[in-house]
Amino acid sequence: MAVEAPPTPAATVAPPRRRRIPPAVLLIAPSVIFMALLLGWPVIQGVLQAFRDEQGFTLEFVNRMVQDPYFWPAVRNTLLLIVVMIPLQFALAIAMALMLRSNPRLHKVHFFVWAIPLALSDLAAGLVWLSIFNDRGYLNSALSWFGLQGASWLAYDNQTSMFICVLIAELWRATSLVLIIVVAGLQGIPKDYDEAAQVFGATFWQRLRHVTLPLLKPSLQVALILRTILAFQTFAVAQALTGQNFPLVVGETYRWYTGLQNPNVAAALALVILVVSMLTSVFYLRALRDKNQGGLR
Amino acid sequence: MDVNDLTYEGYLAWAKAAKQGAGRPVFGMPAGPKGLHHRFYQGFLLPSFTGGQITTFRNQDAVAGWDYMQELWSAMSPASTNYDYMQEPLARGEVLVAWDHVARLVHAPADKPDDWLMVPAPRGPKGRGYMLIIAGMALPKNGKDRDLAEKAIRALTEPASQIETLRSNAFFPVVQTELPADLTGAIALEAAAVRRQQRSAGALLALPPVGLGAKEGEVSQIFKNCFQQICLETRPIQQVLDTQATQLNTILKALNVPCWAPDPISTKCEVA
Repeated sequence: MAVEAPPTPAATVAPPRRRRIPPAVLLIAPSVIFMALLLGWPVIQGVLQAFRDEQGFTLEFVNRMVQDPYFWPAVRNTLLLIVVMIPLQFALAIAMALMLRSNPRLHKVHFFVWAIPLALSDLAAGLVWLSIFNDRGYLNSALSWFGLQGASWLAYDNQTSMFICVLIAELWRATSLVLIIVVAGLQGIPKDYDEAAQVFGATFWQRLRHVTLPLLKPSLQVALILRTILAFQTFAVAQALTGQNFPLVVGETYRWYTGLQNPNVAAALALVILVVSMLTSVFYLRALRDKNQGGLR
Repeated sequence: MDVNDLTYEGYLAWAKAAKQGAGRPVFGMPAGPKGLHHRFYQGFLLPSFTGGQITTFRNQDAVAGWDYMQELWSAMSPASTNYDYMQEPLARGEVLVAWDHVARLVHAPADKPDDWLMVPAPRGPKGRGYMLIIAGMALPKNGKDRDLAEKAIRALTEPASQIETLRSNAFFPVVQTELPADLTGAIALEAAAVRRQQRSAGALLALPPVGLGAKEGEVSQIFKNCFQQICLETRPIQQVLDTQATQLNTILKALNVPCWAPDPISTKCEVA
């Protein structure tokens, strides 16, 4: 038996709902298309390039990469640089930010000067430091002015001094990024917490350890992830200072792509950086998860 | 010792004596990232020691050649790994004796040509290996204005334009021609040395890798890898040569090209 449904005037007035694209989708569509075209597609192409030749799937390019005499030194140098540089950078940036918070005279000028390296291209920064560290650079000239014997800081057989030169140049160039994030984070922390701790007689270190740093955690997390990913991409400074004597993974990618004209091995190297960067980000997100808030994202 | 007829042994003895005399190494080579030191191994050192370039890549003679190179390197300026063009360290006085492509040397003696010598490369047990670059010119079929194009090529190969090229950027003439007497200082030095090298006893012509297309860089990198591992990292020579020979053969197998001078022309180029 058929039951006649009562007429529904509303349905005839409103257009059919399913056909309409929700405004949210329309709003994110440009960025989704943009990401798909400029990030998604190249990533897929990169993976294909690293693992496929005319005959189909191959590990030949990965083999070539691993057997290259520069590959393992490059991996070692990149990791070493990150392990030494990141803690130093964070210690420096936090110290500088705390100094700025205590409102010394001309603190705006200080902040401005400290942020200058952020605006410099990294190749330019590398060349600046090259003019300091090379055999006839400013450092050796200054030393000889004091009557001291200079050294070949960037010679291939002096791995330690070469590493320190790259480290100093990178510290100078990239600490400002961390500084700016930390300064922004510090400005978001109300002074009441610190003052309360002071009232209870906490020393400077106690306040730093138990009040400031925990409250800075979200900023530090962002800075850590950003800085580490960028550190994996360190390239131009080391290239300008040491050429190929201090190989880094991204420098090797560049060499395989432009010098040796083998985009396949270059893609394999780029994938190494991608995978390592992703693993580090996941590690940071987990390690710095705020347990009280039941986890971030 | 005749500086125009050096042997590799004599060159090494000279480098060692100069290092001792000056208190620092004063011999250098273009082993920087953009330097041409691979051409030295491909066209000078290895042909002189082995008589070949690819086929003899890992035989006993090659081991002797690299053994020599290891010893020579210990008498050379360690800053060489940053040198791309030798004319700059030479002009600055950082090194006093160096090997390089002539076009990357001529600016050093430009101001005071009388203070400088340019001499042929040394000779080794198998002859005086030296490298020559060959460039070909071709016209596409059915191109427009064929006559004019042929005229352009003919004009480029005229002795007059070849001499002009020599004058302006030190590239030696590729056609048979008498050199003018009024060449400027540095170019005159170069021209005399190149002539002497070509006409010397035991001259052994070597070519840079031929027919490799985009893979040329990878093949040359193999020679640079040998330098890196043998001279800088002082690894066992035979072992390095064996590993690099495997890599070299992988590249050459995919290309399937005949060998070039000084290796015997075979159907397929490979390390023996």
